[in-house]
Amino acid sequence: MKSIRSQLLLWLVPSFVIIAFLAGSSLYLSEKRRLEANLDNELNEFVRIMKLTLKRPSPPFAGPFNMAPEFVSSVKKKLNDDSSGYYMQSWAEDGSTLNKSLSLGDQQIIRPNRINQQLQDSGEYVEYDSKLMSGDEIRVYAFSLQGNPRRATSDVSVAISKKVINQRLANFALELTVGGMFFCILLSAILVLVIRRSLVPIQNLTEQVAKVEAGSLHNRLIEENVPTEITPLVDRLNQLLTRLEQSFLRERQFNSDLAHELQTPLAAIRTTSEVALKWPEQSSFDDYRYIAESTIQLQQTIDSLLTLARIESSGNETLSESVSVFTIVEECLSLHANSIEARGIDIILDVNRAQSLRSDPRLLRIILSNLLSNAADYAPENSEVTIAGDLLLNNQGTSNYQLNSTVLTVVNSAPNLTKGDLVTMFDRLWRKDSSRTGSKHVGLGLSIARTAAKALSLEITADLVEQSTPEQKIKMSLTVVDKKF
Amino acid sequence: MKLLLVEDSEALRRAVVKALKASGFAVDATGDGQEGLWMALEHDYDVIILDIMLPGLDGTKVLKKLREANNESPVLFLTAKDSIEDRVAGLRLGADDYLVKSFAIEELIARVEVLARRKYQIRSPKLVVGDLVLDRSAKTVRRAEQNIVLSSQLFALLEYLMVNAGSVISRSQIEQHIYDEQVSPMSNVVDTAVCALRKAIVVTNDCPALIHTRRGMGYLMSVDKP
Repeated sequence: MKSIRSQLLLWLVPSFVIIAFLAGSSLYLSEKRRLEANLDNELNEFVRIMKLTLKRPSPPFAGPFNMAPEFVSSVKKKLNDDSSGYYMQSWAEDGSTLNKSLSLGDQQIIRPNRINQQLQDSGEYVEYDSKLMSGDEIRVYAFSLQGNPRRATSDVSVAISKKVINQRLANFALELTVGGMFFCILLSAILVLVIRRSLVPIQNLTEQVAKVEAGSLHNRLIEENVPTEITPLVDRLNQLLTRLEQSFLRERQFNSDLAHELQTPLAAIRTTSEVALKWPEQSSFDDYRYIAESTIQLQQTIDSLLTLARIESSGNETLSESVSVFTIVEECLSLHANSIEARGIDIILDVNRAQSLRSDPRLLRIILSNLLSNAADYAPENSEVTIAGDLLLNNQGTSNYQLNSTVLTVVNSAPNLTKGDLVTMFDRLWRKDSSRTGSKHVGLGLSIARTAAKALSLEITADLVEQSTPEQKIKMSLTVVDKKF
Repeated sequence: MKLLLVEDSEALRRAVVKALKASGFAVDATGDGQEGLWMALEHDYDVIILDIMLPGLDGTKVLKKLREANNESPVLFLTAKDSIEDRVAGLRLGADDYLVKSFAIEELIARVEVLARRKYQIRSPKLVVGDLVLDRSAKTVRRAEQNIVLSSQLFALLEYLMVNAGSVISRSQIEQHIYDEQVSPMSNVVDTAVCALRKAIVVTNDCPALIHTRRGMGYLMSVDKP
């Protein structure tokens, strides 16, 4: 019952039934009122004639009721005909029946005792529904006929049978019930068809989504003929597909790059070994050197991947120790001293010796070492690398809590980098050189640095300074928050 | 047979060159895509072994430019890109074969041999001229039911002459196909090698000469004396 179709049917079909019932009831009551009004009019007209007839001094009556023939031929006909549905009965003041129409036969109209006195006092009449002894429903018009010297005061009730209008109302009710049921069934069927038709775009969307596979992520869901209510959903799904496609592309790129980083040195080791075994006369001392270099390259790749995995899995297991910024920068620089010297890199160190903060020295060392390694190896030969540590004080207003930040920046020339590179350079195995030639860097350094920074809740940002000029430089900034309680 | 190897990993390039040379191929090698393209367009290589991820010019672009220049040399992609999409893309681009790193060197050599045969429209690994039979897969030469032992370079020279049996092959053609770029064009290495080969394939006193000199033109391999 969770489907939209079920929900709509569950709510709409009972609503239609209720609406149909209310409409039918209104029609029935309206018709009933109309028929009763007609009946009352007919009764009143009949009573009016009766009153005129009874009040008029007349010659001797014909039949059991004294009526002038010229006035009462139709009245007499109705009252004397036992199937006409017109009745009349009069009572003396003592309650004895004075007269009654032939149409009543053995039956009596129930005399309205309670109203009698009232009728006599007001000289008016009352109308009410009653029943004959046979069970026939009748509409009664009761009035009092004032006496005169010739005639005693009497109560007169004129009635008309409701059999015809009851029959009509019963037929009408049957018609309404059948019509209402037909209306409800028809409406429900239309509703089912409309809902089914309205849900076709969702079905189409479902089929389109079902066809989405890793290889077809470049396809987008078609918004044509989609109802406006579903368009936002299609838009969101398309945005999701875009993100998935990008994610898959990165995953594919990572796999491709990793395959290259692992397979190439492995192929070199294997081929060199096989050649040495098959053609020993061709082998030389250099073969061992190449095998060693390829092995080191493989080991570096695997070590970097393991470092990355370990930092990611370390979670919140970080240390909090007092760290001298100057000391840790010097330590990291010493790790790359050979490369710095060989490439003629001039290091400009602008860090306060007394500057210290509380952080995890192990992770800080990993971050700085990778940033400095990149600067030392990728800055043009005989260029400058500037390392600066700026202290930012930010008092939060409370006496026992102080939050200081040290922004460590490493700036070096990077004439070939583009703005687009800044977006992807922190991706795993990213290398500016798409051919991935060379074995010193595998493209995991910046990814490791960013992951380590995340573990410390820090952020590394990269910006291009003096962009698009030969003097273009890259500025890597690490904001280290020092929390002291 | 002369091959071009374009591979940026120096260690791998060095080992593959050694193996191919030991198998009797003349090999030129480079680690740069742009240089590789220039070499491929300048020389008529029997097979080109091409890495995809190359500095200078991507391997796929090298192949595309080669085909655009109507260079129909068979190309074997030797790459770490191992996905089905990469293989299909490489082959659709016009590569004749695709080998994923790491590989067995024997397999690479076998594939190169197949591509070289395909270039000369030869299906069988055996080349026959008169009673001289050269088996390219077994690397053997037999004449009059006797085995002939040849150095890899002489084997390559004989193979080249037998592949082109009936046609006159110039010295420069032999230089181009048998010797790599290290050989000086002014040297008489071809004449010396042909002389040595002639001697090597004489197993009996009544053996007819199969390699004939056409003065000023080159050499011809044929049973009949021209």
